[in-house]
Amino acid sequence: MRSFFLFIIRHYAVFLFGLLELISLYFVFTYNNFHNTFFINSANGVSGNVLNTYGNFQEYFSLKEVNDSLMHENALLREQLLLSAIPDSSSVLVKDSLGQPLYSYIPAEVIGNSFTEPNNYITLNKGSNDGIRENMGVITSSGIVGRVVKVSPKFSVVMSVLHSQFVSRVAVQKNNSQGRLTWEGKSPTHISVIQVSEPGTLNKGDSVVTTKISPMFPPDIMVGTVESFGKDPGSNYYTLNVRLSTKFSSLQFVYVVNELLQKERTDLENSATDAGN
Amino acid sequence: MQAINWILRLVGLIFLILFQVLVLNKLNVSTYIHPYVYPMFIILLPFETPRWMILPLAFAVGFSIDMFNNTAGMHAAACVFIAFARPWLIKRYTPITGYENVNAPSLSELGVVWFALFTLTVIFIHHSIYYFLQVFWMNDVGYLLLKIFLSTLVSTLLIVIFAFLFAKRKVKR
Repeated sequence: MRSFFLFIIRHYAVFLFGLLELISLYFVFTYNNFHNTFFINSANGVSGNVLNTYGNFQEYFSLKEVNDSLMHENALLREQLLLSAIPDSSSVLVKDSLGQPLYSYIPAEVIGNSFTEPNNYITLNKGSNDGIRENMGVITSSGIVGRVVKVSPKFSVVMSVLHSQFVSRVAVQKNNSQGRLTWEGKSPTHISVIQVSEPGTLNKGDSVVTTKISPMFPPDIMVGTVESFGKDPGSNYYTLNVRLSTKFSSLQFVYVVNELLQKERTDLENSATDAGN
Repeated sequence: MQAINWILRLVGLIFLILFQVLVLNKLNVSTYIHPYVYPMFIILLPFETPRWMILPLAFAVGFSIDMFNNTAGMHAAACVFIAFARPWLIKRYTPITGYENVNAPSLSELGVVWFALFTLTVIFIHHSIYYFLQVFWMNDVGYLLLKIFLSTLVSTLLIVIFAFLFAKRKVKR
């Protein structure tokens, strides 16, 4: 026993090394688990505040760009306001038949953003105090951004669309042929839509948008435009290569989507699954 | 003297971490190049730093970067490994004259070539482990190797430039 302890003491460095590596690797592999967001940490006190302070400072350098994008968005909203005076089918998407709103939007600012890693996250300067909860969708005026995976009182972390584990169903706007969004991990400007069963008469430049099935996003939010497409060898599915409409390199203001009837919807869906079992 | 040295090192560490998180991590040059300079802290530790100290220290440094990057343990794993491998590398790279009167890796006292080679090796090991952990699921060896190679070059270059900026003014050729 004595020699055993002496052995450990003599080679303590190796044991310490092994122990620390095991701890690190344990974090790495539990974090890859889809539901374990315990270690997604830029929403916590110190790093959140550092990123926030820096974000406040950095804002001044992009005031012009921000102004431009806000002007653009204003124009777009004004246009929609005009359109909404005419009763058409698209207004039904925003409100239900009783005129109850289906979605509300929480504006937030990006204080941390990566897009060259294989798994990218975005940190926002609003958290549960502002009504943000996990699994809410995040969009900008130009397209989809991601999904909230972790919230603290003042900050929240968003899993970017540019993440290996981001999933969402999307459709080609023209003919509603659906597919699954996956990012291959290399280009921050392009994304793939896989398992598209019936592309129909697809053209370059067709819009890809979110669908009513995708739970986190309102329908018809822009994803991008088709750049190329091809049939998967050995199956009837098609894969589309889509240019993202959101510019992840210059992300600054985003909207967190609060689906007001989400609880009712998921409760109903869950009870249906329970009844089916 | 020792205590002042350590305080200076810790202040340097804070600057390195902030520079890494607030400048380099925001550069996003390309998906192939993402330099990490914060391992410079581990590179510059004195030769005689005991193992029981350097290993937890490296873990803490790596983990603090993980906190900002949402990479959970990947930097910590890479840092602990380079901290563990460092003594062997130091022995392997002993200059012909030995390490007389030098108590830490330094550009001014051991020369640019020695410092650059040592840094290159340490950074190469660090980046290999980090990028392997980060992208092995992508199953794309060519991408992984190119990413390690290019990022290592850029990181090493940055660290050598930093060392020049903060070196005492008597660089040996």
